[in-house]
Parts: sequence; structure tokens; C-alpha cells
Amino acid sequence: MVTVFAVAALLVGAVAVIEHAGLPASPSGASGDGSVTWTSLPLSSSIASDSEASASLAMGHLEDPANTFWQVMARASASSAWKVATPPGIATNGGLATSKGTSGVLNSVVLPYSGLRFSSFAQSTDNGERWTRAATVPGPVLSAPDAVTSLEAGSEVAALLSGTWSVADSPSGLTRQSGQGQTVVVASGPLTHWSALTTTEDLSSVAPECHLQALTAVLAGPDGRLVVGGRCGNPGHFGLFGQPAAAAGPDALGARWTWLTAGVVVPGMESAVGISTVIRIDHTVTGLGLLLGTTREGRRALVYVSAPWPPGDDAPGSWSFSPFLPVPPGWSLVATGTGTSTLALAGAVVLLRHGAALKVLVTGAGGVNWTSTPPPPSGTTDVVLQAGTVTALVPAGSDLSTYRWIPGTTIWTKRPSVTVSIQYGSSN
Amino acid sequence: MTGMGGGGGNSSIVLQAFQNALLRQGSLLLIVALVLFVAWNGLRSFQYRQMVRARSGSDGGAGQLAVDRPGSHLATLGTEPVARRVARIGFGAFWIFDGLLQVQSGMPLGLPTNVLQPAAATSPGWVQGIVNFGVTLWTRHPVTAAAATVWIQVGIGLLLIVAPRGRWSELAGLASLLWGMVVWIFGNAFGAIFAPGLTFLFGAPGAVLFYAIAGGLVALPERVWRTERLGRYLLVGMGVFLLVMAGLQAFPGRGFWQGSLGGEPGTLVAMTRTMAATPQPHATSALVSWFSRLAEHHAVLVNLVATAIMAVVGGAFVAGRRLRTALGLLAVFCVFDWVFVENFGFLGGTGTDPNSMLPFLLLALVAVLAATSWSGGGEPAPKATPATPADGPGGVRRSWWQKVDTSWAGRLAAMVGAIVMILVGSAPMAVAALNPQADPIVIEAANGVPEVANGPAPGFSLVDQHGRPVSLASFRGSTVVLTFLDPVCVNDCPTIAQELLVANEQLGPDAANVKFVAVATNPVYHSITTVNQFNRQENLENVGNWYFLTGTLSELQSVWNAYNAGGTVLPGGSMILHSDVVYIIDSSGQIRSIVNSNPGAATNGVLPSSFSNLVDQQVRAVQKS
Repeated sequence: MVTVFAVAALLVGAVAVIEHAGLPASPSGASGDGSVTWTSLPLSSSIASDSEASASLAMGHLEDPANTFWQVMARASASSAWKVATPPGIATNGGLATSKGTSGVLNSVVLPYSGLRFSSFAQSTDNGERWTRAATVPGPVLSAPDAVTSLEAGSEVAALLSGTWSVADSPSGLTRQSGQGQTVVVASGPLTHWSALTTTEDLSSVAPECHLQALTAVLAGPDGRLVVGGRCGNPGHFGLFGQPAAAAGPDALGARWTWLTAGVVVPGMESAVGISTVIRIDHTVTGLGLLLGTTREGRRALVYVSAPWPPGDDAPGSWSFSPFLPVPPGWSLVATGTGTSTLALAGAVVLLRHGAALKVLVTGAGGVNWTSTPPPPSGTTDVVLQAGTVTALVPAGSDLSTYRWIPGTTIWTKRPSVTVSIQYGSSN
Repeated sequence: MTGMGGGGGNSSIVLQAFQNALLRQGSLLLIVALVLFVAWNGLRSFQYRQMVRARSGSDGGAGQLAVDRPGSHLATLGTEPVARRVARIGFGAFWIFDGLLQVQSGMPLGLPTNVLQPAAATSPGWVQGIVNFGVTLWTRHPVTAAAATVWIQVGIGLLLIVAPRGRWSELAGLASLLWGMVVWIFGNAFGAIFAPGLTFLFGAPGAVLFYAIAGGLVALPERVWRTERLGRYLLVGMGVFLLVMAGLQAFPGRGFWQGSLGGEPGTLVAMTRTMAATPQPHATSALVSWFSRLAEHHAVLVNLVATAIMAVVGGAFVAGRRLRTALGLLAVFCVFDWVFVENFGFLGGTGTDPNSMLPFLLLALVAVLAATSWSGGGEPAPKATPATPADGPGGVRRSWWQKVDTSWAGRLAAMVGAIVMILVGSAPMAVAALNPQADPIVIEAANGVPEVANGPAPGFSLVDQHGRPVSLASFRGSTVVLTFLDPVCVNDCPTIAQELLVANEQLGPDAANVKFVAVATNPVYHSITTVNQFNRQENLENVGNWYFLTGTLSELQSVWNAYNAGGTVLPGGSMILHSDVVYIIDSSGQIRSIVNSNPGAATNGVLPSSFSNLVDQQVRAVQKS
């Protein structure tokens, strides 16, 4: 009898062991854009003024990276039609980011994909009609909406790299500077000679109280000085760093940057355990606007910050903060937009998603509060805040449907659609 | 059901090479067989003539042949146990059948994608890593590997059948064990026993494992077979295995009790639907489809019956009782499963074996025979009579030809033939395993054979990655490997560049007089900085004979037009459209061959050197001419 029990126990054990070994692994946890620490920023984004707007979003077969092609869409006023303005000459499967320089210049940077391990840059002076300045960047650009910046056409360009990069001392030179991690590089003229300007490590040393974890955004200020945003691990503090006033661009190589937000604490975060990440930086009518992602004791929230230019630490009282916009558990930040305007709605727009549910929230002028729009159309992946109205972009394969919401109304109005000539299979 | 995914990858170039290899090696084996036959027949004739001559005189029995006497070679070994004979001949036949399946045209290119990779797809990473060795070997040398497998398997089968006794037979068993384990590990991913969805009904733990076990048993000394102990151990092992499989079949949450799971088919239904979709005659597909519907509508009943039969037979085997009844039940179960679930196991164009049910049934028969018929399982060898030089009747000394048993010699010839067959397969396989370079035929299968050309190469003047002026004329005296690369291309161009780098390294000293030249083929991104970034990315910066040329857009466009290289801007975020072609230009500036360099699936990842070898082949041909 004992033998029978022993055999039975062995059999049950064997079955259990084999069965356990054969069980598929449980799916991983939170997705990148839903992470508690804002370590992954959504690339779907937009940037707009009253007279021009552009948006970056993925189209094509989104379940297949080789057939997902990121597009730049552009338009003039909020009432004009969207057009395709994707920079030519390179596959955009890896994603792209756009930014506005001064004088209406539109910058685009394409992220590496597959066998390519560096990024490319293109610049347009006519809002994406033609891309007249093209060059490659000496490494992979950070996957973030504000990873590249410039002033007017032909002037210096700054890009935020993440990963292995190397720059030659001359276009054909073999000796070079190289490194890893997050680095701001700059170049001017034909963009053939890039220089490393600063790194996460450099900026950590000027802001020990920030506990800088990463760089997340870069912007050229009106006077040519660069500002760089980052993620601070110290509660309440947020990372915004600026070049010295006396130096700008490549001339500032080796100059000591300043922590522009030294002493500035996000209200309500003083004693909390958490982090603050600069998700977006853009110019506003009065200075700078920043969209911050914060985490307070494990709960995420968004805050819009307005600052004068230059945002020196001599006037901390001039910083203004929106109320916290809680991001409930399970919801992800899908897209962000910045909109410069003097109208009632201006500052930032965000698209949140939880399964099939979507929410769009907009800041009032000056970022004083958050306004919720009616639920956007199903399938919306990007939003644009222009001239006090919000546009939802809804891609489906090669077609892009657009809808507009005007404050005070309860519906999204369908606007003209756009068809993109996507070359499926070209990146396989 | 290894390989029942449809016979993909059926390139005519590879198929022709495969058939040529089989024909070549088969011819060699035929010659060996003829030589052995002639030798054996010559011996018989000689023996006969000598016997007639001896009997015509009065030799006192010297004319008696070895085979006529009780002391002949086979007679000294006694009778072979029945169970061993069944195992040897049965699994020998299976090996031959499997070897013949390897002749299918889809094997050279289809086996990795239809058999090896699917077998490991759901297994843990370490299993996939091991299987990847087999995938890589086969994919790099598809013709060698496919032909070798044919001869190895047919050879092992023949050896098992024709070598009934002694060390030759044990050697055959050992060969079966070793090759069976190689196939089970590298080809069957351990029979997918580490993957989810493990079930005996669908082939776990892999047919070839039973071949290996049978081989191991045949390799045992024959005296082991003469007791019932071997059969008992084997029965207990198989019984425990069946009980574990029954437990797994009944384990809740594995989807076998459900015909559908939230709108999706249950586990058994999904498996049988996949089998029914395999390319095959309608009649066989209909059988599986019928069972699939049965499993869908009566999932509980089907699983209950399957579990119960496995449990009852397993219990009987462990207890050693009612063995013949249990064997009969198992036979019905196995044949039913083989037809209605496993779908015969070898259909679809790349099936490699008849799946597990028949080999398992045969092994069970062997176990029952070994455990129950030991008394009739062969007679022990008689006391050996020492062979003496003068062991003829009346103490007459016999000649050497009288000592030779020609029937045994015939068997010996067949055994030697089988071993030569195994060697004809295993030797090239071993060489291929040690060769990390893929055969050029792989890229030829994907892109076609190089186009032979003989005309002047259009001249050009551009600048290299250092900004130095370079023209085609400046390369006179060297063989030029010319291609067109987009420096911001995301897939083909980095792969082609790496292939050319490997080609350059493989040329060794011959590379001294070869220039590898790429022309930037992107109307937007073609600056010197950009081509240098590509060079840095691909580790080409310090390659002395590598030239990545560029120029103004108009200069480049004239070169693209001259070589029909493309350079077209595509909309919607696509990369530049350009040709994937390599021109081999001789030292006098004549284009001698045009190689399609589209890496596609042929060189990506698994095959990093097939194209390199082809380029080297072309370069050396040009240099020699």
C-alpha cells in the first residue's frame, strides 16, 4: 500500500512539475507610457501657434513595426486642412519628433530603426512643404517629443541623444569623441560637425538637490540659449537647466550650466516622496511653458508650469503652476501637445487612454486650470491645441480622420480627412 | 508531427543541387555495393569450385563448408530473442522510412522553418538556443545537411536490419541511440516537452526518442534480453510515462476539457484544426476534421476516454498484469490517434517521421514480448567450440575458404555497405557542422545565380569618405566590387555592408588587389559626414580597401542612371528605393558579373555569410581569368 501511495505521489508531483514548467510566462506589467516614473514619454505629439501647427503620429499597420510609418502632419490656421509633411529620404518606422524654431522653422528628427543606429535631422522653412536642410545626427536621438530644437533657419541645431554616439573632429576625420547615455549635441551651418555640449552627469553636478536621473527635453530660447529639461528624483524639485547668459550654442562648450529651477518647488510636492519629469517645453507668449509629469507616493499627476524668459532663479515667485491633473491607475499618457496663444485655451493638451476609453484635457491660458473636452472619437492617437480649439487625429491605416472641438460645444466635428501614400513592405 | 507545416522554401536551384547530391552520393554507394557484391559472389564461386574439386577426390570431409556445420558463426550465437528481433527490425524499418521522407523536395530549405523552429517556438529560451545550432547548421548548408540525413537514417535502418547479432548489431543500436538523440535535441527541441500544451495525443515526447530508446536497448549485451527483467523495467517505465501523460491530460486549466475557450478553440480542437489545415489529400484532412468537430462538441467525453485509456494501460504496465489486453487496448488507441489526431504524422511536404504513436506501440510490443516470452525469447548460445585449424571431421585440416560462412559474409557485406552509407552522410555533415560559412547556394536560391556579363563599366568621378577624388579609372589594375548603398537605410544596406566586410576578410591575401566600393544612393542624405557615420556604424572605418563614395546630387544621379541603381524618393516615411546589386568589375574595367545582393530572408540573421561566399567566388573567378 505504501508503494502504491509513493508511486501515486510521484506521479502527481511529476504532473505538477511538468505542468508548471509548461505554463506560459505571465504578461509583463505596466506599459512604458503607463509607468509610475514617467520613464517613457509618448512620441505622439503636436506643437502649434495660432498661425501654424504640426503633429507627429504613427500610421499604417500599427501592430507591425515594419509597417508602422510615423508621419508629420502640418497645417496653417486651425480652420485649414491638414497636409502630409513627412520629411523624405529615410524610413520613419522608429518614430519621429518635430519642433518649432523661431521664424516658423519646422524641425524634424527621425529615430533609428532596425539596422540603422543613428538619427537624421531635417528642417523646413515653409511648415513642411519642402525640407531644405538635411543632415544626420551622430547617434540615436532620445525617444521624446522635444528631442531636437533650433532657432531660425540655418542656425544652430541641438539634439538630445540617448545611447551610443560618436562625433568626428572633422567630416572625414577618424578621431572622434564618443560616449554613451544622454548627451546634448549641437551643430551649425551644414550640420557636418557636431559637438557634445552637456550630459546627464554634467548637469547632475550643478544640481545636487535635483537628484537628476535623466534628460528628457531640449529647447532653444529666444536669445539662443539652450534649456534642457530632466527628471529629478528629489521630491518637489524639477530639472530645468540653462546655458550661461554669456554663451550660446557651440561657443558654450565647457561653460557651466545653471539649474534654473533651483529653489523652485512644485506646490504640494514639498514633503512627498516622488519625482518630477519635464515632458514638454515650449515657448509661450510670455516665456516658457512646461508640462511636468509627477509622481506622489505612487500616484501620477500632470502639472503645467508657466515661467518667464529667462527663467532665472532670481525670481522664483514668477513661476506659476496649474492644479494637479491626476492620472488614475490604469490610464496612460498617449499624446501631448503644446499650443501658444492668447486665447482662453492655451498651454498644453494631453490625451489619456485606459483600454478603449479616451480623455482629452486642456489647460486654460497661463495654465491656470485643466478643462476636460467631450470624449474624443474612438481611435484618437494625437491631439492638437491651436487657436483655442482642439483637434483629434484618428489614423486608420493610410487614412487620417480629423475632428475639431470648439470650447462650449459638446461634440467633435468631423473635418476633412487626409490619405497618406504609405509604401507598405518598404522597411521589411 | 515534426514538419507538417507545408513544404516551403522549394527553390529549384537548391532542389536541383539536392537531387544532384543524392545522385552523386547514391552512385558512390552503388559502386560500393557492387564491389561488395562482386567480392561476395566471387567468394561463393571460389568456394563452390573448390568444394566440387575437393568432393571429386576423397578428402575425408574437407569439402564440407563452414555453413554446413553446427560450429558456423551464426550457429555459435544461438537464437536471437524475439523481442530484440522485433525492436531491431521494426525500428530499422522506421529509420529507413524516415530516411526516405528526408528525400522530399521541401527538406533542404523547408526543414528549419517548418520543423526545427516551430518545434522550439514555444519552448524556453535555452531550448531555443540549443535548437538554433541545428537551425543554423541546416540553414547554412541545406543541401549537405538534407542529403546527409537521408544516408545516415537509411544507413542506420539497414544496419539494424542486416546486423542481427554481436558487436555489429550493438553498434547499430548505438548509432540509432546517438543519432536519435541528436535529432531529438536539435531537431525536435526535446520533443517540445518543455513547452506548454504538452500532450501524448499530439506526439510528446517525440517519436525519435523512442527510436533512441530502442537503439539503446539493441546496443545492450544480448544476455540482458534473455531474462524477463529488461521487459519488466521497460514496462514499468512506459507505464509510469503513460500515467504521467494521463495526469497531464486530465490536469485542469490546460484546455483539454473544453471544446472552446472564450470563443477560441480548446487545446485539442486547435491542434487538430492546425493538422487538418496541413497540405494533404482531402481524405486524410477529412478524418482529422471529423475528429476536431467531435472534440469540439464532446470535449469532456473525448478527454475522459483518452485519459482513462492512458491511465488503464499505464496501470497495467506498471502492475505487470493483463499485459496482452493492455497492449491490445493501446494498439487501438495508438492507431486511432495516429490516424485521427496525428494525421499520419508525415504529410505536408516536410514531415520527418510518422510521429510518436506507432513507435510507442512498437516499443510497448517489444516490452511485452521481452517481459512475457523470455522462455521463447531465443536460446542461449551453445558452448563455444574453439575453432581450431584442424576442426574438420576426422581431424582433417581445412583450407581458409572452407572456414568462411558465405551467408554470414553476405550479411557482412551488407553491414559494411550500411556503414559506408552512414559515413557518406555523417562525414559531410561533420564538415558542415565545423564550417560557420553558409554555402553560396543559399543566396543563389533566394536571388538567383549571378548574371554573367562582359562589357565596360560606366566611368564615374566622385569623392571617397575622406573627401578625396576617386574615379573608376583610378581603380584600374584592381578587381572592383561595386555596389549602391543608402547610408540611412534601415535594413538591406547594413546587411550588405557586413556581407562585403566578411567577403573582404575571407579573401585574405587575395583581398590586396580588390576594392570594395559603395556609391551613396540617397538624394537627401549623402554628405561625407553621413557616409562616415554609416562607416562607423558598420565598423568599416579602418578597412583600407573600402570606399564609400559620394558627391553632389547631380554627380550621384548620373552614376545611378548609368548603373540603373534607382535612388527614388518614396513618400509616406519610406526609405529610398534603390537596387540591391553588386557589380564585379575586373582589373581592366569590364563588368564580369552582376550579383543580386538583396539580403532578404536568405542572409538576415541566420546566414551572415552566404552572400559573402558568393562574392568571393565571383571575385576569385575574375582574378583567375
